[in-house]
Parts: sequence; C-alpha cells; structure tokens
Amino acid sequence: MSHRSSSDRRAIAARVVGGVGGSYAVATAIDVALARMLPLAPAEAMVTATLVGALAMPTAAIWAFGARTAKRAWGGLLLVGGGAAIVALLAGPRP
Amino acid sequence: MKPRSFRQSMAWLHGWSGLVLGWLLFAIAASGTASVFKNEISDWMRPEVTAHADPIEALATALAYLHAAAPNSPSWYLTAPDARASTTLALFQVPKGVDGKPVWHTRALDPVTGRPDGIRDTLGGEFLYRFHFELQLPYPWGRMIASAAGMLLLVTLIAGIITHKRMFADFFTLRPDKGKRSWLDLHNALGVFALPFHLMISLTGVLTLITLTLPWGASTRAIAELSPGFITRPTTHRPAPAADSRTMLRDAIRRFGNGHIGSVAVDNPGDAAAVLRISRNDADQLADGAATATYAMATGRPIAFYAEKRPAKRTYDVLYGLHLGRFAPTFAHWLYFVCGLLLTATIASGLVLWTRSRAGGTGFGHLLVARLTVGAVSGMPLAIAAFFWANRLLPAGMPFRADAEVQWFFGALGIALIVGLTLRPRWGWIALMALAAAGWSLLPLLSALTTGRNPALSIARRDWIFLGFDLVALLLGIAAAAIALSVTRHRPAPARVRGPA
Repeated sequence: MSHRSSSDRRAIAARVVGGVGGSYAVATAIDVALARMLPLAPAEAMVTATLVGALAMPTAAIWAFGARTAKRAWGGLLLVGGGAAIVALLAGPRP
Repeated sequence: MKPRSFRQSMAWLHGWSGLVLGWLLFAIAASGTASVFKNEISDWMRPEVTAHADPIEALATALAYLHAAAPNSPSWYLTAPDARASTTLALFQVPKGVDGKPVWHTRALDPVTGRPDGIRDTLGGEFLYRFHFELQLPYPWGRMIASAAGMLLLVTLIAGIITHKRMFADFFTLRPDKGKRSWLDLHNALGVFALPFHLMISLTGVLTLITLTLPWGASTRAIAELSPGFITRPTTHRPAPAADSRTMLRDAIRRFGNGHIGSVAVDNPGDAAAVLRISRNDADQLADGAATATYAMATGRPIAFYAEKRPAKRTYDVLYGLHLGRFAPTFAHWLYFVCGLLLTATIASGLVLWTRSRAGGTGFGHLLVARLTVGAVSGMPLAIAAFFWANRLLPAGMPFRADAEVQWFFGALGIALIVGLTLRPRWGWIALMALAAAGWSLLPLLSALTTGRNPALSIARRDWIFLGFDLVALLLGIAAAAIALSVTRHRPAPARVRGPA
C-alpha cells in the first residue's frame, strides 16, 4: 500500500464515495421517482419503487468500482441518479 | 487505481468489500443459520415443557393468563404453538424495576395451563434470531448495520462471480496441501456450491429491512394503505369483559379455509374497544404474512378479514418469506440450514484467504486482520455453545436468568476475541477450536445429566427435536475438533528469510 501514489489514492477514494454514498443516492432517486410516477395505487407504487431501488444500489456500486476510470464511474452515477431525481421533481410529491 | 480490466477491479472490490464487515457478516450468517431452527432450539431450551396442546386451547388459556397478569399492557402479542414449537410465546408489558416503568417482556407459556410457572426463564432461539438482525444494539442501529452488512455481502458476491473465470470447473477443483491455492479452491467450492442460496439470502435479507433503510419513496397515503389487515381502534377508557376467545379463534379458522392459527394480537385489552387480530399460520405457503381476521374483543363480533392479493405487496411478502424459510416441510429447513453453514464457511474461508493471499504482510493491519479472524470465527460457535451451557447450568429460579444466558454468550465471544488477539494465530486456532469442540460435543451429555432427557429416551419417545439437537451438537463438536487437529498437523512452509535471522 505504501507504494501507492497520491493520485491512486484519490481515485480509490472517489470510487469508494461513489460506490457507497453515490449508489445509495442513485437508489434513493430511483425509489422516489418510481413511487411518484408509477400509475399504481400509492402503496403498490411504493413497494415496487422500493424493490427496484434496492436492486439499483448493488448495481450502481458494481458500476462505481468497475467503470474503466473514476471519472466515468461518477459520470454514470450522476447521469442515472440525476435523471431519476429530475423525474421525481417533475412528478411532484404524492399525497 | 490505474485503468485496468473489469475483472481485476472486481477482484479488488471482492477482497475489500468482503473484509470491511467480514467478521460481523460471519456472526450474522452463523446466528441466521441457527435461526432456521429457532423454534426447535426454543423447545430444547425449555425441556420442562413436554405437553402438547391444540393451538386454540393454548391461545385461550394464554389470553386468560394475560387478563390476570398484564391487564395494563397496551397490547399483547401471542405466537401459537405448532408442530415445531410446544409453547405459546407471549410478548407483553409489565411494570419492572424500582421506578415501576413498564418494559416489554417475552415469556413462554405452558400450552396446557397458559402460565409461565415452572418454565425456566430463557429467550430460547428467539435470542439468536434477534441477534441475527439487531446485533444486540438499540433500535434502529443494529438493524441499520445488519442491513449494511447484507448489502456488502450482496456486492461482494456479485464481484466474486464476475472475478470468476471458471465457475463450473471450480466446482470440482480442490488441490489440498498447496497452501494459499488450497484455501482459494476451498473458498470457491464452498461459495459456488450453494451460490443461488447465497445470492437469494443476501438479497432477501436486505429486503426484510428495506422499509427502514430506503424509506424515501413513502407517502402518507402509501403507508396508511400498506397493511389493510392491521386494524386497531382507539381506547375508550371504559372497561369491558372479553367475549369467549375460543369462539373467535374457531371462527377465524373457518375463514382461513381451515388453515392453522399463527399468531394473535390484542390491542387495549380489557377496554370496550379492544380488538383481537388473528393471523393465519404461514408455514404452508411461500409468502410471509397470511390472512388476518379482526374481532371486537368485547362482543366477539368480526370487524374485518383481509388476505393479501395486491401483486407488488404479494411479491414483497414472497421475497420476505423466502428469507425466513418457514414454508415447506422439514427437508427444506435442513436445506436452509446446510446452505447457511456453507455460507458461514465461505465467509470464514474468505477471511482466512485474505491474510493467506497477502502472505509476507507483517504490518499492524495484516496482523490485526489475521488475529481478529481467529477470534471471530472460533468465537461465534463458542458463544452459541456457551449460551446453551448457561441454559442447562444456571439455576431455574435465578433472577434475570434470561439475561444471564445472554451474558454467557457475549462473555464467551469476548474471551475468544481477546484470546485471538493475544495468541499467535496458530495457537489461537488450536486453543479456541479445541474449546469449541469440547463445548459442543459434551452438550448432549450435559443436557442428559441435567434434564434426564437422553438420546435413548428421545428415540423411545420419537422426540426428533431433542435427538436432532444432540446429533447436530455432536457433529459441530467433531467439525471443531477436526479444525483444531488440522491446524496442529499443519507445517507451515519455511518462511522466507529476510535479512539476518
């Protein structure tokens, strides 16, 4: 570990933050977006959204560590998470 | 981290995500595996109870007892005895301690008398089950940490699968006595053998707590509509005697289409607005949570009946039920148990492999990982054995007896961790595994001497729970002895000489 350069360490830190915090944020955005926009009864939409969100988190985490560069990893997370967040905002809260 | 292949990244991820909470995951997997037989363990830990009773009679006498013993509890929760559990399990509030503050209390009730008298105070298998996802930490922290560990296991498994080049061939590969290579083969074989189970149990495990960990999609209406079977009424503060509970229980069974009763809840007992919620036993279906029938306790009049039919919620219930594995015959429980042992062993071998594949590491971190693995991996079997020893050795009338059993569990775990950190790994393994071997293999003898219920009697009485417990204890003892012996025989390859010796 001692022979790792500081740019290596920064890249690893970026992946860890993306893989843990980023993937949870992506799961949250997808959860909220689906719960708000799915044309189902509120409880059914919530359960479906939660299940999809739960699957999104490990997928996003694998992406965060597997993408070729840390930049690409974060780009993907921002694209999907941001997209879902915009859908959630446009759909507006359910009563 | 330089750009490198996807597979290399996944190998790196597998190594580190498995390590972060690896010891905790081992404890969660071990206690979860034991929880498959939670009810059977509870029966073994209450050897006084030999009677069996019809669930309706057992619940009716239990309700009569609670009317007298816990009239001020806001609710009562009862789990009915069934083929796998002899006692009625009751959860209720009683004033406790010097300030008389009410605390929740779990007691096993005799199925015939409905009373706890004469039954040793123990949490039984319920303790291992609770530890599996609450880790003995205050709500919600234990559940949060257990969820995080479950998610890490899921990610570690996926990364491990991607790392694999030859999934099928590894199934048949074991090169013994080749040091690190043998550990890798063992880890792969254990992991691959029950891979579908490992994936299913980690995913569904995360899902059991998902409403706590990913609650952001919830809305007021969604939460209100989530459980239509859960019906309660505000208290009126007017006391009213209860109607005959047997009539309500029989009516519920008729509505369930002759299913068995699983559990019963009473809200505001003794009040004119008290309700009795009766839930069907879900042991004969995949989904967790079955139909619920609700009655007005004072009049015996049915208020509502609900059986889940909505597709998404039903899907969630099935995934939840898959994790609990309560469905299906005894054979399926054994399959869960064996797969659980394989997962536990996969985690343990992965932890050992972590230090083995970084051999030559002499830093503090490396040493800490190696020694923590010794303490944690031998500590869990030792702690569970200690919990069972306490159950047989602590005097029946001892105050806070159930808590004392739990203290034996954590005492043993703590001692194992200290021994693991203090001794050199080789001696740590030998000492702790030899102790675990003694603890488990002598358990049937201890049990027979203290309760009079020996294997011969079990066979004569067709008491498969006691016989099964004794056999599993013996097998676990032999396994621990085999590990201790193999470490004794192991001759480590001569260390590379670094500088002057």
